[in-house]
Amino acid sequence: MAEISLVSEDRRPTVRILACQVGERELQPILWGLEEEGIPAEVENVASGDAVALAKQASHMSSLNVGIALNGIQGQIVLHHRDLGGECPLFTLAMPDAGSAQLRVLGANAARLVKGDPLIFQEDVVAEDVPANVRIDSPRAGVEMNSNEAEVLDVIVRTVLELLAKE
Amino acid sequence: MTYIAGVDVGNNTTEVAIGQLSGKQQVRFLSSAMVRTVGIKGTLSNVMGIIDALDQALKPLNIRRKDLDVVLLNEATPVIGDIAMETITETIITESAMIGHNPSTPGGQGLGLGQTIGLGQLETVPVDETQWIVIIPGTTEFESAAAQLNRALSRGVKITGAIVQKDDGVLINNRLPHPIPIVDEVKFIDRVPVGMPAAIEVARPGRTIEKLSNPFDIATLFKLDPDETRKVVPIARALMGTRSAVVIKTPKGDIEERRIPAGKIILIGHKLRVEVPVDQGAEAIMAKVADVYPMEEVQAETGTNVGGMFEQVRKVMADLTDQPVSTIRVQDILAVDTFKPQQILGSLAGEYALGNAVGLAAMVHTQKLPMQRLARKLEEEIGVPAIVGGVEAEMAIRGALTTPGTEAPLAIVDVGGGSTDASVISTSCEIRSTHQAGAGDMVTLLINTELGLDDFDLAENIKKYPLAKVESLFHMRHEDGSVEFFHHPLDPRLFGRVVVLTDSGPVPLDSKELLSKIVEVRRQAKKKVFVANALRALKRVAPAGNIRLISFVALVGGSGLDFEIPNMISDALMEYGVVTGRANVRGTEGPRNAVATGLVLAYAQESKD
Repeated sequence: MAEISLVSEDRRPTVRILACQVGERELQPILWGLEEEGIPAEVENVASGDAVALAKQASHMSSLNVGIALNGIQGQIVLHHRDLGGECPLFTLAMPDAGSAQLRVLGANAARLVKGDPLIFQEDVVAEDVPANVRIDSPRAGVEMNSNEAEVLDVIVRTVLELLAKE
Repeated sequence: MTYIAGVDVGNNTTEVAIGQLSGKQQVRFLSSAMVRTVGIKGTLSNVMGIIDALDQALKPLNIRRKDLDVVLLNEATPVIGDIAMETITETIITESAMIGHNPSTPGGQGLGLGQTIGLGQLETVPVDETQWIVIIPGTTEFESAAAQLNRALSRGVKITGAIVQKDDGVLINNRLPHPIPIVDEVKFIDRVPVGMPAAIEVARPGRTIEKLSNPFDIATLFKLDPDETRKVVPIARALMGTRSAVVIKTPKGDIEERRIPAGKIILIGHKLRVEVPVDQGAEAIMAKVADVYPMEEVQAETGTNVGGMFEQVRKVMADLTDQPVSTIRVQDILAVDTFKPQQILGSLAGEYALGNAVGLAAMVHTQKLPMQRLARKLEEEIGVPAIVGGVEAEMAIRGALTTPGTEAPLAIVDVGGGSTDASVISTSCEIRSTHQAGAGDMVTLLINTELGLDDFDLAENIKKYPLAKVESLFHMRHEDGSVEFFHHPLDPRLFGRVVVLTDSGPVPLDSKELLSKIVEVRRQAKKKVFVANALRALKRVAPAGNIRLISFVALVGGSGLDFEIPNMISDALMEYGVVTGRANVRGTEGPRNAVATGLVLAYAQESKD
């Protein structure tokens, strides 16, 4: 993974985008989505990295807490928020299928996440020529997700308590 | 030892109180239960709900159904209400002449005046002093649209604004040398007429348009005469409060605000007969209703909208009660002024204008509901004698009087779904009661209409539960301003939205309305119906029609549990110096179980006498 400092020197409020092996075709519509919503973005090219992990990293680098990562090799585009669990990104798009309209919506959603405006969901968008095979990692109010996270939390708590007990 | 069960079958809930009668004819209450009423009140299907409620109440006592000595049923009030909405005004725009909407991100800002032109024609226009407002269809990508605009601008063509079909306003504007106002997300762009004078206005963020919502500014821009100015008033009104707007002057464009002949209501009292046109509004109707009281019947002019509504109400009642329509008479109405957002005919972006409307609740007294039949059926099913006890209002008052700190003269108010009921017991134990049209269902109708929801279940939820705004993936701000944090991320579909906090979790609203607006609509609807009706009902039962002569007012029934109604009614009654509060039946049941408790108490007293 590329060496990227978590504390960016330039703390301009932007949505951070980490791009790995992707072209303008994927990147540009995302930027347009952000621009239309009036939120600035900053793109950085990286050599490698898992899309989800990169997106998480990008969200930590962003002073707006929102990060996007594109990985051309994996064929994944991920929108992440700093406060979400590392493995639970907000949206994931599969690259060859994602049309320009979908990518623009992803950019708009990143901006809306910053602004606190309602997000756009693909099925709500008037179907133009968009294939409907977008995976939305959404209902996190879902039971599985919660129990999963609860387990992880449980393990952490127990470990910490054990460590404390040793001292 | 005698075990008795009081059963109150209501429109929504069936409530049970179990009492034990000891040797000295003293009642000791053992338990109570509440279930949803099965079927329509008074029909045989109620039995299932009653048995369920009995079982629930008996289970913790280890008493079997068979061990009960008697089951007492209420003599249910034979009152059914219905509601309808009547529009009085509507805005019709016969030729597309305005766009006024709130795209989330319009481009640029300011006011632009010019002649409409298609993007394709821009190449060939001569360079002169003419100002242009460019129509950009969704088939053109914003980059090429911006490039074409820039080419024209560099030729010296004057472009003062643009109307865009897609959500591209900001993107196009960012690619121009000077910002121009751009209205985007105009759905029906092909309906925008070409070659017509038009004005376009985009306000700064956080502001609303100033010029195009003022008829005199529209007159100034388009050089209108006083007659034409009068005609643009509905446009100006429809554009108020939006962030961006376009007004186009079409040669034959005709806008009118039409008053719909809604018909007359005929109020027939014991002495008076009065006619009121519905379009005079709720206040006039209700003033006349008060004049005519006591009312014999309310009729409506046949062949009009309101006439149709009355026919509908009577037909529903007739079906419910299994009686011929001719015997059904409407005996009370509640009229409420309201607004109804209506899609403007000939709109370009799905705009709405607020039309005036009157909401009407009607109430019908029917003959006694067949409770006797229900009692026999119940007896058959459970093998315990079932008898129909006293009048509902009396029983409710007896039950309410078990509230600690109350004494006669006491009044109770029960706001139900279809009717608002009030009863008062005097120091000499005389009981008077009344039923008024208009209650919970009416409030739901008003919320549904004024917010343009078109979804009764959602309106019902908005009525019943408080709202919150989801501000991040982990927290929401409640309508009172307090913040609640969550350990697990909220559903992204809730993000940034106003949600109703129902018992089964937050439900997002699709509406673009601000939370404060929705709260206001909800509270106003409750004020117009619940508070107004509580006062109207109390005046009718109070000694000499004077609410001040009542010392205590207790709220009973489900509405007593609403999160804001008790406080609203309390506030309204404060000026009468009345102690108002939610009943606490037997000191334990809250506003519930008053009738069931009253039934048991009345039985105990009778067996003593």
